[in-house]
Amino acid sequence: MRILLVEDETELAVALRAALTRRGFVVDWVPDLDQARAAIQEAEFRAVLLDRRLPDGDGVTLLPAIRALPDPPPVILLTARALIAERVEGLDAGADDYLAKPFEIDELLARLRAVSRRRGNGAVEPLALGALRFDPAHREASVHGQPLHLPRRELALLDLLLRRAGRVVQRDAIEAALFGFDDAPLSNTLDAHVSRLRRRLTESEAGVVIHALRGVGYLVKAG
Amino acid sequence: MRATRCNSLARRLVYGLVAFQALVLIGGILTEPLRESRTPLSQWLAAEEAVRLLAPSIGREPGGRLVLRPEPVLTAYMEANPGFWFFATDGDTLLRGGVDRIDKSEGDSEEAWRALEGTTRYVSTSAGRVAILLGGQRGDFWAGLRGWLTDRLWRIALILLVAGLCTTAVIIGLVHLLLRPVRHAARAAAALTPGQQGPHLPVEKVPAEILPLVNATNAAFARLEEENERQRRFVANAAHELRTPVAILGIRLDELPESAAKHKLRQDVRRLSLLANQLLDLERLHHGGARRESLDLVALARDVVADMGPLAIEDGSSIAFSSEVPRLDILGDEQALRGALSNLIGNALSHGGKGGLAELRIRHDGVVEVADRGAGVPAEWRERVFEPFQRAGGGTGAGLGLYIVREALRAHGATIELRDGEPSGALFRIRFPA
Repeated sequence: MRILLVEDETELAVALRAALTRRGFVVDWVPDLDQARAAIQEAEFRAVLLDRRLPDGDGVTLLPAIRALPDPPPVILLTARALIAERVEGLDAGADDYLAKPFEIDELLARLRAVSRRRGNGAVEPLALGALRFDPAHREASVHGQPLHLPRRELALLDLLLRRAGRVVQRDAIEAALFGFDDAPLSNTLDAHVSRLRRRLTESEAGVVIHALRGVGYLVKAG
Repeated sequence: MRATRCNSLARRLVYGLVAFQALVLIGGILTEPLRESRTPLSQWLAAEEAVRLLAPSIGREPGGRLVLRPEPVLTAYMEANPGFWFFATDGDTLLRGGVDRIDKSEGDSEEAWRALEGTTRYVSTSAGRVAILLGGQRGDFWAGLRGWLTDRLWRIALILLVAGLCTTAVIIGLVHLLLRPVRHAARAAAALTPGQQGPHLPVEKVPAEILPLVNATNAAFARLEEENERQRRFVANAAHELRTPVAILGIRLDELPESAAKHKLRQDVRRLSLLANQLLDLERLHHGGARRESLDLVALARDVVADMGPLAIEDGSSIAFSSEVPRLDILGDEQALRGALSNLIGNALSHGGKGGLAELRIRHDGVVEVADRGAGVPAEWRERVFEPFQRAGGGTGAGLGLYIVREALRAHGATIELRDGEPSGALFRIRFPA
């Protein structure tokens, strides 16, 4: 997976490139907007890591050029501080995600995976967690290679939770995705679906746990 | 005017002016005999005494005519001073006394009248103001002096009392009026907050005499502000610059093989970046103030709880959210509030013990509560936990977390207090202004 890193801080860029390279990414590093503009024309990247404070301007100004590419790669903005206003501004300008320095490499990898999945229209990568694999394109789940048959709503629920594995998916979002206006759920309908899905995952030894956070939502993680 | 009694400007002005008035009055009295240069002092004093004795005996008849009703003291005086004579008139009636004795010796001729050397006095009596021409008076010098001074002192005291009261009233009023701009400036000074922009104390209508003080104060404020700003920039830059090396440190750490040491180092890096971010948060709160954007506190709090969910589960704890209202619209700074709430929840998670439960509740009256089921905080620690660099719970941070929470809430006009939880643990209660 080829990534463009736009960062003027040499030491940080070198360390970041080394860390990403070790994880199998191919990283091209440019220190300013000018070279970044040239780079995106020359090569095709699967993602762009873009610093905001660059010697020749705000990283955000590169976003239109990236959006104009035939197959625009997702962009993660890197900045010294995730001021909400700055974040909104960056996301409005067309960035896919935002990461505040100092960040941890695992956090960056998670974001990279998330944005590249989100962008992969058509070729959606399968989601995997524990022994569970889920193919969002075909809505098929399997455990240890064995197909796991799930009703429509539980499939949709699994899809939602897996896409944000390790993070909390709020009840409102799940209810909105699972139930239409015509079949507004009773307050415990969702809990019933969750407990059925949970039982099926345990029975099939998927190595996946669904945690409930009272009043907030659910979270799925390996365990 | 909030001056102490001894330093009151009005008081000093009143004292000064009354003393001046007293001096003028006493001076006027003491020079009284000198102004009648033709008469020797003893004569003058005797005339004064005679007039004092005479005045009470002059009255008016029912018909309006002036009449002499000699008091015993006057009769006694006239007997003791056979040469004493007087005329008294209000312009209509002429009274006379002792004059007949002169008549006999000198004859009632024009020359005889002319020979009467006397002094004239104008005196207030029960019959009104009367002119008295008198002569042949005798009297003891010292008794005369004493009588004169006693009489005048009473008058001085009376005049001074009235004048002093008037002066006091006028001066208090004037000082109050004139110092109104100064009080205005004082109120402005009392309302000053750090990081305020522009001139500090108003100079409009400040009296010219006090203007230098106000100007000098403003200049001093400006210098302090400038220095403060320099310090602020320094702290902000230091915190800002700290983050790149911390980021590099974190990434380089990744190169090390997994080990217990690496795990610990990673935690150290987290603490370092937390500290750098907290310093920047504080700087922003203290000098930028809180933004005022309309937001739904219920959604925001639920979001924060959701964000903290993975951390809670990783710790083997749990986290819960409840709200008695569907939404709660407030004006506030989303980032600051988000930071404050996640700090409180993080605090509840780390003090709630393994398998503990951190709860965020929003009550129907808009009060936000963050509770844990840990050991709670002893009463004597409860105020101190909000002070900077206090690490009451033996936490791993720099002890800035709850301080930032309080500052962030204060910027919103909200208050936070630490109480006993139900049934146990610590309970942070936040009240936003209505």
